[in-house]
Amino acid sequence: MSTERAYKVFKIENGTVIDHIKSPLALKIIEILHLQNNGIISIGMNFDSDKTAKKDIIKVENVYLSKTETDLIALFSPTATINIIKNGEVIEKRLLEMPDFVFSILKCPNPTCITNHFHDCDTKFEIFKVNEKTTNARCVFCERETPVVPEMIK
Amino acid sequence: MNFKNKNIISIRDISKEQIEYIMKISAQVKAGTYPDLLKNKVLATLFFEPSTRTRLSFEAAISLSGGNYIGFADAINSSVKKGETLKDTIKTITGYCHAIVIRHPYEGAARVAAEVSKVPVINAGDGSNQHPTQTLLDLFTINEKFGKIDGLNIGLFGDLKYGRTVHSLSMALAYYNVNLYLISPELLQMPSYYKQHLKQSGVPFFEHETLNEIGKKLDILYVTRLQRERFGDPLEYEKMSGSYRVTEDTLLSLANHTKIMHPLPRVDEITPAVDTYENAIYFEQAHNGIFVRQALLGLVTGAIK
Ligand SMILES: [Zn+2]
Repeated sequence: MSTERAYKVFKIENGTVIDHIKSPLALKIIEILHLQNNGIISIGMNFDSDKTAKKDIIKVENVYLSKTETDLIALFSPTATINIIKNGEVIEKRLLEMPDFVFSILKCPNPTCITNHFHDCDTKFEIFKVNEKTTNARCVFCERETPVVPEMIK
Repeated sequence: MNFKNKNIISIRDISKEQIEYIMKISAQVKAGTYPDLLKNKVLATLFFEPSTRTRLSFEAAISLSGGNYIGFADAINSSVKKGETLKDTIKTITGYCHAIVIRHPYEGAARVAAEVSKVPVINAGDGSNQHPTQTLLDLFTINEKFGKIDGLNIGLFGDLKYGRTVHSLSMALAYYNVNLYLISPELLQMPSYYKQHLKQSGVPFFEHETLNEIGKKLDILYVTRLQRERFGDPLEYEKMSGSYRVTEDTLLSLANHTKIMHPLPRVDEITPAVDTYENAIYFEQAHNGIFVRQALLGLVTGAIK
C-alpha cells in the first residue's frame, strides 16, 4: 500500500496526524498520550515507508496536541512527524524535539528503586541522546542510566 | 558559600568548590573552632535499615556538638511497618527537627525525602546508590594526610564492580588531577559507566589485576572487600580473596609512604597485624567521619555560615 493511499483512506478535516511512527508503536503512543478516550482516532499500522522499515500512522480528529505532548513521541520514535490540520489544510508541520525530563510515563527498570515501592513516588527521568539510534534515561532518584525501550512505558 | 538548607544527597550534586569548602570547615571543626555547634538543634536520624557504624558516627557527631537527636535504628517497630509511605513519614518528622539524616534500603529514598522535607536532608546511604558523607570523609582524610589531592597516585583495590564507596569516590576524584589505579579481579572491574566519567573528566586510569607492577607507585591504597556472594564458584572466591587480602607481606609491594584506607567495617581483607603500621589510617579515617558530619550538619542547619 502506498503512502499516498494511506492518506486518502484516513483523511481528516481537523486534528493531529502523527506519521512515520516506528512500527508497531502506534498503540503504545496512544496510551502514553492518553488519546484512547479522546474522540475519533484512526490508526494505520505496518505501512511501507522509506524513512523506517515499517511505519504506523495515527490521526486524532478534532484534537490539537501540544508540543509538550508530541515531544514525548521522540523517546521511542524520533523520526515521527506531526501535522496539525485545520479545515482540511496542514497549518503546522512540527518536528519532534527530545524532552530534557520525562515525568510519570516511564517505569524505572531498577527493582529496588524507591519509585517502584511507594504509590506516592512518581518517576522522573533525565533524557540524554547517545546517538541516532539510542536515547538514554537516567532515573533522578536511583541515578541508574538505561537506554529507553518501549517496555519501560508504565 | 551558602549551604543553609542544602540537601546532601549525591556526590553528583556537589561541585568541586563545595567539596573544598566542606573540607576547609571540617578541618576547622577538628581544630575546635566551633564548640557546641549544634546547641539547641534537634536532628533526626532515620535508619530504615540498620547500619550501626554510620548511625553511631552521626549520633556521636551530634552529641559531641551539643545537639540532640531523635529517630530510630531500624524500621521494624516504626510506622513504616504499618504501611505509612516514606513521604508521609518525612512530612511528619520534618516538623520535629532542624535536619534529617536518612538511611534507606531503596535507591532514591533520600531524594524522595528531600522533595517533601522542609528541613535539609543528608543521605546516609540509599541502597546501592550513594553515601556522600563517606566520600567526603575519604577526601578529607586524603587531603589531611597529603595536604593536597592533586598529583596523587591512588589505587582502588578489590571489588570495584559492586562497591558503592569506590564508585562515589572515583566520581569525586574526577574533579582532581590524580592518577587512578583500578586493581580488581577481571570479574569485578569498575563498570564502564564510571570509567566513561573518568575519561570525560580527563583522569588517567589504569586497570590491573595485581599490585605487583604498580604498588610502589601508590600514595594511597583504598581497600574494599570481595564478597563471597559475587562469585558463582566458591573455589574461585577462595582463590581470589587470598590475592586481595592485605597482609604484612602486601606491605612489601607498596612504597614506604603508601597509606592504606578502608571504609570499614572490614572482615578479613586486611589482617589485624597491619593495623599497627603507621600507614594504616583506616581507623583515623573513620574518626574523621565525626568532624565531616559535624561540619555538614553545622553548614546545612545554618549554624556555620
Ligand atoms: Zn530509579
